[in-house]
Amino acid sequence: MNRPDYDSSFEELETSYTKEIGQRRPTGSIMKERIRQPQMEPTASSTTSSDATIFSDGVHTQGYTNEDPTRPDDSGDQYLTKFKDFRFKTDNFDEAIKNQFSKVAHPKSSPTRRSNEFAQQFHRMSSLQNNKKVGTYSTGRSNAELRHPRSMSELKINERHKTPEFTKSSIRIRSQPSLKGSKSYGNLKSTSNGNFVRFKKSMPNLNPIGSPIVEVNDEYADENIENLDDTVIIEPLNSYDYMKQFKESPMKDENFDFADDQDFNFNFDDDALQPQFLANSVKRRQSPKEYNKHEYLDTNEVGSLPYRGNRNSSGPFRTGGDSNSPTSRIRTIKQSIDDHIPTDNLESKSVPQKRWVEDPHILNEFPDRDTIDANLPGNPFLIKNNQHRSISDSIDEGMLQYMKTRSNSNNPKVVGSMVFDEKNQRWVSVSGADSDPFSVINDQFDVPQISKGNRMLKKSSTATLRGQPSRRSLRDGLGIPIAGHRISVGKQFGDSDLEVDPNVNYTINSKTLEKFYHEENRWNKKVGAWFILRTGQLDHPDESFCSAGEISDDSLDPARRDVSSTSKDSKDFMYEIRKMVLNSTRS
Amino acid sequence: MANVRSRHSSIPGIKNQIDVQVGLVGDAQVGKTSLMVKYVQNIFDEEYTQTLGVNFLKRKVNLRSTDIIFSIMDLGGQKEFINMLPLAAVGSSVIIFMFDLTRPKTLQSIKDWFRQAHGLNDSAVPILVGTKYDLSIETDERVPGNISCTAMRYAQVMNAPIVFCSTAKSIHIQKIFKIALAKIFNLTLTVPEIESIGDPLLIYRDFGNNVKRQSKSSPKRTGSMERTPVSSQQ
Repeated sequence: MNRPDYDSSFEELETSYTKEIGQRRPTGSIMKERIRQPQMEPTASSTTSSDATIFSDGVHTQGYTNEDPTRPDDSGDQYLTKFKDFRFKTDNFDEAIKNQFSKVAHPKSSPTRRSNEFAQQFHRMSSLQNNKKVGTYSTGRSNAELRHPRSMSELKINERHKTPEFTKSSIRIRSQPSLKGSKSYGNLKSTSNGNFVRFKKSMPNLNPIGSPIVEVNDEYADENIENLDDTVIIEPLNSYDYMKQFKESPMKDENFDFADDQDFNFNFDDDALQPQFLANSVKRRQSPKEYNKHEYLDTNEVGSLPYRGNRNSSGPFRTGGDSNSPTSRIRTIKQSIDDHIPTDNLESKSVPQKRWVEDPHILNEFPDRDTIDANLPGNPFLIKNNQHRSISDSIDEGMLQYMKTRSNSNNPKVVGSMVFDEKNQRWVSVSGADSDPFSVINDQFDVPQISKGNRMLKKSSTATLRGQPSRRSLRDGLGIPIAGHRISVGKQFGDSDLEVDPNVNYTINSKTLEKFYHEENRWNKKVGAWFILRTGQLDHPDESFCSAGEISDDSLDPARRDVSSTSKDSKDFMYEIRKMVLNSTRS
Repeated sequence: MANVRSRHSSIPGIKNQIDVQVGLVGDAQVGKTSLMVKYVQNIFDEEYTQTLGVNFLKRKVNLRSTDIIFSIMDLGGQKEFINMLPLAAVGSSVIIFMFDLTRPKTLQSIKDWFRQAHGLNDSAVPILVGTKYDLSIETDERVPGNISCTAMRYAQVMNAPIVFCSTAKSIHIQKIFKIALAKIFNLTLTVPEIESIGDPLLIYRDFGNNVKRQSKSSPKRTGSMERTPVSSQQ
């Protein structure tokens, strides 16, 4: 349902008001007829909303212009018959004019009074008519005489009620032809935005006697949509719904608590808090200082320290509740370390002056660095600058030569029992016993024939679906024979040899080849005007792409193959030059 | 609230912290970095960014009174980075071998990856993970079936749990690391297994149990014996 956004800004209203001045008015009889038949096919002038605005009372203007003796299109007797006195062939012209204007100036026949009469008459009629008429009145596009300042308010109210009749009539009115080039505020607004009438919040209430404008709430406007819940709509199960059942709950933030999570699926007792590797009586290595500190702190409760009670009782700023706060505890422990830890067996001794003096003999317990035998278990393996030297020191010459052979390098990189083969770019066993545990598996995939053309070519690989250059589709549809031509695709930058075999011929259907042809044509159009291309290059832009029959020919003619490859390079070069020139021109 | 406090007060004040290194290996563009970023930061980006060398992210999870810190090493899948495989393999408690469910060739490459990584560290728990499950079910019906069968055979040879996941749709991302924890610490995981062909496979109970353990790949316990403030009074 397309309904315009009635926006009553001042600029637009002013425009409508200006256009109305020079507009031709229908006669009063026609106006009455329109009141009775609001569904009547509107005239071109009546379709414009400038017939009546809230600034120009249509009824008032109508009544005044009906009796305007200066209408330019009325002339002669036809003009004079509109005056009562002239209908009776009054000869006294001046008196007739005086009488006429005295009647006009009479309070009983003032334009305001007539306007009120018309308004009352309209309300009476509108009360007898159905909602369809109300809708016509509210929009006011086909019957400009019915425009009233309250029309916008009425629109609002009707929109809130959302009676089906009103909506239906509105649609019908909307379908009526509008005047071309009309600049009314209704036509200036987009008709596709929203399903409800919008008002600017800053718009003042232009009708002091009308009902206040009530803004429509969006949720209220969607009420009809929500009521559709009674209708059961069965959607077909798609892949998204299928995967939804496997979807995990959204993760929490940094502290992902397994214990509090609903998806906590571990079933273990408290012994599991000790990991498996700790069950082997592996004891942490701590310095003697730490041992003493922790043993002391573990065996002595913090609250049982003798000074603690004194501080709690004597401290002027501490209460009993504060003693359990983390801050106070940290302070207490720190002080206990300072005052009560025996420091006799540490590397330094505490002197009464609170100064720490180094023990010069403490380093004697550590062995000399040069006397450490790294081969003995338990001793640290010192990292030396030259890794090759360490390897050569630890192994004999024969083994070193074997490693060099295995690694195809004079400086073999050995990690554990593996040595890196520089030539083949892989890690191989030092012992040379590279057993293949997967030899029992026949992993030749039975990839089905593609029956859906390019669609499967794209879907067979996600490298193109997720942020990959489109050229990868050639590689990823690999090994999948497609009816059509065959080309050879070499290794591309960034490709892994684990995936790509450059000797494999791939097949491309005619549609893809046609796409390449057009791309090549476009390329030559861009570059051809900038450089002097070789003769026939523009005529045969697809020479870099060859069909199945041409592959063998190219392979037999190395000169042509070189031309093909260099042609692409030169074109890259040309394109770069063109781009540089264009960029420099713009700057 | 009182129950929560009383429960916390019953927890011992000693907090252990264990570092668990996890290596991610596999062909290029199978989704190693996406998996790591999704698990650590809960972000998924469609755009592909090539990993140069090794990416490294950490995430801390809390398991009862123990903080588990996952140090995830993501190795670039290109061949020029294969010499950095020891960074991801050596010292890792778990090595996750990843392949693309929509590219069967990446599954075949798992053989090479396993030979090399297992040679460097035979004490790590291997986990076989198939990625992009959401895209695989949109392809021809026979392709996922073939890959599923072959992947299960690979898992048997590798003695590795097998998981099909989707980073884009958040399918089985956290379960991969839960399985890793369960296998490292011999915990019992109660996640139901999924064995039907076509569904995102989740088979872990019979695989990865009797892996040879060495001190080199064992999780490192660091920063333990922290005394946490525990409110003893209410």
